[in-house]
Amino acid sequence: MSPRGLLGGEAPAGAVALLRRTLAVWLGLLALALVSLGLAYLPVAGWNRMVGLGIAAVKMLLIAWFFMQLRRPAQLPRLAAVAALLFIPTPTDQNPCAQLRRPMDMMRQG
Amino acid sequence: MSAPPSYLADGQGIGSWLLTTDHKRIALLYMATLIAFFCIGGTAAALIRLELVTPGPMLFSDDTYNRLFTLHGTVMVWFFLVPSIPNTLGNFLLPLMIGARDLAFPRLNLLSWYLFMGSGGLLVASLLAGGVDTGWTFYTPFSTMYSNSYVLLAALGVVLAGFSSIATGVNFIATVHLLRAPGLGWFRLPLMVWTLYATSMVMVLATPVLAAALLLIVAERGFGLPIFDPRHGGDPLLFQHLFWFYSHPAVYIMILPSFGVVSEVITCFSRRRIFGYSFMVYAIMWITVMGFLVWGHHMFVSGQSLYASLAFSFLSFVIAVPSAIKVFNWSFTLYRGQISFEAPMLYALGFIGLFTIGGLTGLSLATIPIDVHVTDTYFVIAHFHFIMVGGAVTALYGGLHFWWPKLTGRMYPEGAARFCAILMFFGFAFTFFPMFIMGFLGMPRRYHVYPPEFQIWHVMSSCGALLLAGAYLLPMIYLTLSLFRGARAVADPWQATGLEWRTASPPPRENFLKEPIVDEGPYRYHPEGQTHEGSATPPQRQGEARA
Amino acid sequence: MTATTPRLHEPWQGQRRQRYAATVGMWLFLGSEALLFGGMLVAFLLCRSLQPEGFATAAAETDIAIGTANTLLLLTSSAAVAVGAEAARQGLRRWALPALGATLALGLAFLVLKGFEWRSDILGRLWPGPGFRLHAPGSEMFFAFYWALTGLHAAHMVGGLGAISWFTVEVLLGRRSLRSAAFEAMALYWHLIDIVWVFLFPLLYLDGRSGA
Repeated sequence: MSPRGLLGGEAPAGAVALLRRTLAVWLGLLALALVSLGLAYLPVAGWNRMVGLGIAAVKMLLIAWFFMQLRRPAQLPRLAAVAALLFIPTPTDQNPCAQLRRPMDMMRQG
Repeated sequence: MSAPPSYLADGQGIGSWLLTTDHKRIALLYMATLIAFFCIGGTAAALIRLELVTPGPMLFSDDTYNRLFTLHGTVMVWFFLVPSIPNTLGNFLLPLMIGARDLAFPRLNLLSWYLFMGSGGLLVASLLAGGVDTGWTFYTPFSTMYSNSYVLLAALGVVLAGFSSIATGVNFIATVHLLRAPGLGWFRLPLMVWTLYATSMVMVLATPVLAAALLLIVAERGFGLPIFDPRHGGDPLLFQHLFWFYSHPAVYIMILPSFGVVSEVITCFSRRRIFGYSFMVYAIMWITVMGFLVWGHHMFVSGQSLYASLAFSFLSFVIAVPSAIKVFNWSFTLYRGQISFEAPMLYALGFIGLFTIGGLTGLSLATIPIDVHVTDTYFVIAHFHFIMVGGAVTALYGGLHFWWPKLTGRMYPEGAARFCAILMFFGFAFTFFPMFIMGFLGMPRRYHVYPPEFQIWHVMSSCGALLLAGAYLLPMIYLTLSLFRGARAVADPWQATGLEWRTASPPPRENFLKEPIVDEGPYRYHPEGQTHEGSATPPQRQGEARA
Repeated sequence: MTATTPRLHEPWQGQRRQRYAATVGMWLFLGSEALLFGGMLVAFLLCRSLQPEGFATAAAETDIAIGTANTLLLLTSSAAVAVGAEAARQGLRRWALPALGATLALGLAFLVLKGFEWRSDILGRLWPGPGFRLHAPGSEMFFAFYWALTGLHAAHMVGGLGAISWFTVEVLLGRRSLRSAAFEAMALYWHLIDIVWVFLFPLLYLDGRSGA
């Protein structure tokens, strides 16, 4: 049974191709992890957190695209992934403008 | 060729029920469990209404009264309303309506019932141990730091019930995507399928956030980890945001399936296809998505920022539009239809009236100045009961009657059913309409001691509650009796469209003898479409089956 | 020797459809898991924005060596389960079983290291309470989230390891086909647990290291 037949998309046929593809992604992930570790120690005020999360996002995309087979042109898994990301609650109350106009703050500040 | 046995006869003994993977049997298992929870929540309501007849304390202390309304809310929301239509009618009908043999994951379906039973066990344990006094909303820091009640047990029970919910949602979504009969494209689906699908989306995406909120309560209360504690810089409002991020979409879990039931019933008993099918679908999806964006309207007086409140208020106005579209479309479906007033239709009509009132008062509550005045009063209680009880429970009873022949193979007694439908409408109105008035006049919620000027409204409400209780209990009696003495139903007693009516009442285990093939859209009633037999006459109750 | 054909379960009448259904079902479940951890992480981010210095000070007290080692272990186990699941799908027993075994071993190693880490954290008085070691405001709350998040994550890992072991044992006993959709589904779950950790790593371990 050809792997291509089962679900479409370019699945690495045979063990060697599979290992090669996986190895490449794995090395990329390890490298990113170590880079984020290194960057955490650089005294770049404020940016460390953003960069760390940004690298985490890239790792997530790599894992999702290659390991979780989102590169396969299947509709539902991609839809589910996008929906999940979109619906994570976004903090609405942390906008600095919003912070300044909280009724409790106004009462305290007068 | 002899017909295969119905699903009820297919396998005897308790094991065949407790280990079944047949979605129809699982629906009945859920029904039995839900009746029990409805009775528990209803008893709490009865005790509350009894206590409220006098302005001073009558039967209960403040603390006991707190536990009563908490029990009522917790049980009714999570252990009755959320699973009600989806896990009974939905479980039973979804595969039938799309021409499938079962749900996508039958064993997961059974697991979800066991998770539900387990969660119910935890809740009953918390009740027997002494109950919870935080209100169903579990607000911090009271729930995490000061309450002397069994918060952890109840919270874990709710979390487990949430897993059951998520499992059902996953099952339904996969089923609708992957198991539709040949020819049944998305825009040929009955609206009930659309609403079950939308409900499932909300179940899968919103419930985990509730789990996160409640697990953080468990972390703080059970393990001493400060999350919401202001002494460690925590913000109790954070809990409210997390809680309502789930609980607002949750109310759409509770009402969306009712929209589906009403659409099925209205079309059948006015012999017309639904007016504006596409817009009904868009309205359903609009409500579903937008339901995630309005949670802050539960927090206008909580101390959240004014800008956030403004945004939530505006969005809450906008979300009224798709509901209005649905009410208009139901009305236009009725217009120039050949209307007959069987019990399901009476329930559906009652739904439209009561839901509309509930929805309009929702707009009042979305208006910040009004909300500041009526929040935490009986106005709010009236609003959500009009929708949840006047809407969802009415639709549940309507759907139960409509599909009773399909579920059981028996007809219910029409006279008694019509009486109960009308009794429910008036009982409901007398119970909950006075609450708008007394809420506006200032009667706070969750109080059992109140100034004497409110007594007249409370007495009216409690009398209405007696009627309402009768309207809920009587059907349980005559429906049970119909199992033994009701006329046997034919496959299609209402001459309705929909694939579920194209198989026997009750269906065999595998639902259809031959996989149906669909070549037309839904609701092919008079005048554009022909009914199954080519006749355009109003449905006649077909009680006796031909030999 | 090619693997046997997986059993067909009701209501599926074709292998392809059943496999796709398992994938879809698992993705939907992962959506809910993403919201579970996402909800908690949003709570964490909000609390962090209210007390950034306290959180950063506390984050510098986590064990960076074990945290990094665990990150690398988990990323490797993700690679292993990716190989294992795809090889299983193709019926390549010689590659699938060792890869799945490696996943389990790496996952167990993660949990063992985490056990040691937790132990040293507790002995180092990093459990919020009267004897808590740090005094910066917000540091106790950071560790409240630390215990809640890593605890929930570890519980998910235990579940994942349990399920993968169960299915692998069933294959070894001949009770399940190697080509079963279960492996692809469990691999997806494992990857999500990995993704959650990928975000926990910078938030819990890398914050506050630069001393800025």
